[in-house]
Amino acid sequence: MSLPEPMIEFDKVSKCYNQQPKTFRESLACLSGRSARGNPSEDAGFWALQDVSFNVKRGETLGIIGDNGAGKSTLLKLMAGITRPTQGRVDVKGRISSLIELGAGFNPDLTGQENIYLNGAVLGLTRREIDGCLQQIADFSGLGSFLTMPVKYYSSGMYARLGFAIAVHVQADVILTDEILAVGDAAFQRQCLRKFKVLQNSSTIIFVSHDLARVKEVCSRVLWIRKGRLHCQGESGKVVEAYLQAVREDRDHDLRAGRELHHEPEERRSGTGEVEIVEIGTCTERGEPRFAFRSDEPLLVRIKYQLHGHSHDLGFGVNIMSYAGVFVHGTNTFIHGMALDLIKKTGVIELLYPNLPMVPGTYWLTAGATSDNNWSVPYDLRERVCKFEVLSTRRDGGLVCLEHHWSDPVEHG
Amino acid sequence: MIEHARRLVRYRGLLWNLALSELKAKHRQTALGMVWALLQPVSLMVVYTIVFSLFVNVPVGDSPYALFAYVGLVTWLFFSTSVSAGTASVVAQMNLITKANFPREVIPLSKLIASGFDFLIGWGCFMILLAWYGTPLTSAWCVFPWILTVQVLFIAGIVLWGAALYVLKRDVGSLLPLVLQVWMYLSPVIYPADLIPSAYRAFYLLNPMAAVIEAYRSVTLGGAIPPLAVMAPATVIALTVFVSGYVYFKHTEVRFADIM
Repeated sequence: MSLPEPMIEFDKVSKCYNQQPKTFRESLACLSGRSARGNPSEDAGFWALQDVSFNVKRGETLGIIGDNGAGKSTLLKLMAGITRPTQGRVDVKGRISSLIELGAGFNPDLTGQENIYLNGAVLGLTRREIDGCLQQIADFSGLGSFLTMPVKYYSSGMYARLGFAIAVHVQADVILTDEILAVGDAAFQRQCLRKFKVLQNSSTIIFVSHDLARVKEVCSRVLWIRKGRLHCQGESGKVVEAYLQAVREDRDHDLRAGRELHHEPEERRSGTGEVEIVEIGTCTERGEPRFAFRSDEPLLVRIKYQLHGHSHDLGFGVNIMSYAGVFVHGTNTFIHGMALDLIKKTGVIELLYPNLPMVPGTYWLTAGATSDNNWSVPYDLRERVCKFEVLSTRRDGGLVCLEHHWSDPVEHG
Repeated sequence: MIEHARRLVRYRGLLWNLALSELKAKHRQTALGMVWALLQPVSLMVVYTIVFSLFVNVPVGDSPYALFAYVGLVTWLFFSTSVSAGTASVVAQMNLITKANFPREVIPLSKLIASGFDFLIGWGCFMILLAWYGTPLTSAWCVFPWILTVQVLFIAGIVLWGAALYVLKRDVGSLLPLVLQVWMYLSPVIYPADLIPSAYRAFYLLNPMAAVIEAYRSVTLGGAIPPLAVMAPATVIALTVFVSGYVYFKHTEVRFADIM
């Protein structure tokens, strides 16, 4: 009886998204549902996944990594049964709880408690089953009397807390997660992680994340999806290392080929434009572009700028934010009293962190140029312009690894 | 089909929950709350009564025009609010559809249930009006469940067709108000079906909404069982629309998340 059975089976699965029909005749064919399954025309469609096969056993925690747009979300949607494969077979056993997006389907006008029932029903629970776990959900969320308030008054953190609390308490056989542990404050993240570890004993968990350190920590096995294909799978440490290596090489390649670097869709840019931050990148001490670092390794931030117009008392600044948006560190040339007297139109300025004291995770960089340390009207401010990973074998919590030493205990009589 | 029905039964909790959420959210925000469910048919009734029994004299037989119009309006409003809310519902809940897996028909059907509550309140008020006017309760009322079933099946069918088509083609959203307007004038909401020339009347009554409204009037105001020649075709058509709508909806729902 203890033989682990496959809970999720993917057999040569491909998924093709069709373009929307353009002509009236195509629309008619579409309405009649002829294209509902099978043979989409290959030239018109976009293959999000091709020929993916794997199994997940009961009780396993499987990580899925890959670049943005590689097909991870499509994979999750196929597992959840939200969309059907174009070819191949997907088989998932038992109840699925999907944490693809926390709090999706909350009705903003209803109270927290009413939304627990609503969201539970979406996950397929009866009213009685929800009655049974209502108290646990309320306790875990820590929202207390806020539960009687409409959720439109909740902060995004409270929203996520409630969503997470519901999704992990519905006793699912298979739990699908997407960037799940990146929500809320540090205390709630730790609470989530603890709960997550308890769930690992009873449920099959699919863990999609860009937080490679976490993936390495919580997953026993990892799939690496690359351009819609299953690039490799195996023991989590090995796959994550191989992925990081490839990311590094891709970046080198991009630079040599002179192509535009990967643009982060989350970027926010503002400014008057007299000075432009053309490019910002993370490098090793020797100036080789790099995307992942180990704690205590040096990090070099390189800013390429271009002067377009007249600038006055110019200076540059860099901020580091955690993935969840906590401001970790910020500095600029004004603080250091540097007077930049620039004559040429283009140039590079570098900022070196000799040893990066951060705990593992994904971090965002913001870079900007402005006049007279006035950041409300910058020349160019690029928020969340690029991100980098910090990997470590250290398990310290928080944001930074402060220097510390434990003493041996001194016992008193 | 059986499999789909079984799955829908398993998700009945969600169906009720969505319908109740809709009602709560709708009525909690408003100062008058549930009164709104009555205000719409009653105010329309008052307007139509003034226009069609004072200004223009529409012959409606022995019963007062107010009661006559009220039955038509309450019945019609159940249809039109269900259809307009139900058609837009799946697209409006895209967020949920691309994030979770559940039988998609619960979304449009929950709209039907929500407007069904208003219909019930409207009927409750109608019973009071009947008593006020001293209209007797007769044994004809025993076909009431039959009429109601035909009505609900027909509305559900149209709602399922509309919701599925709207996902595929947004033109449906612009077309719908026009269709509903024309449909209302083609149904005996504010005038009796007797006004239709007898040559066309059988054809006219093939519209299940026309048959249902006439049948309700016949039972409540006329105290007579509606003729089988009216009810039978309406029943067949309503059933056909419902079954085809459900099959079509289930057939296209697998693509909903991809189209959005």
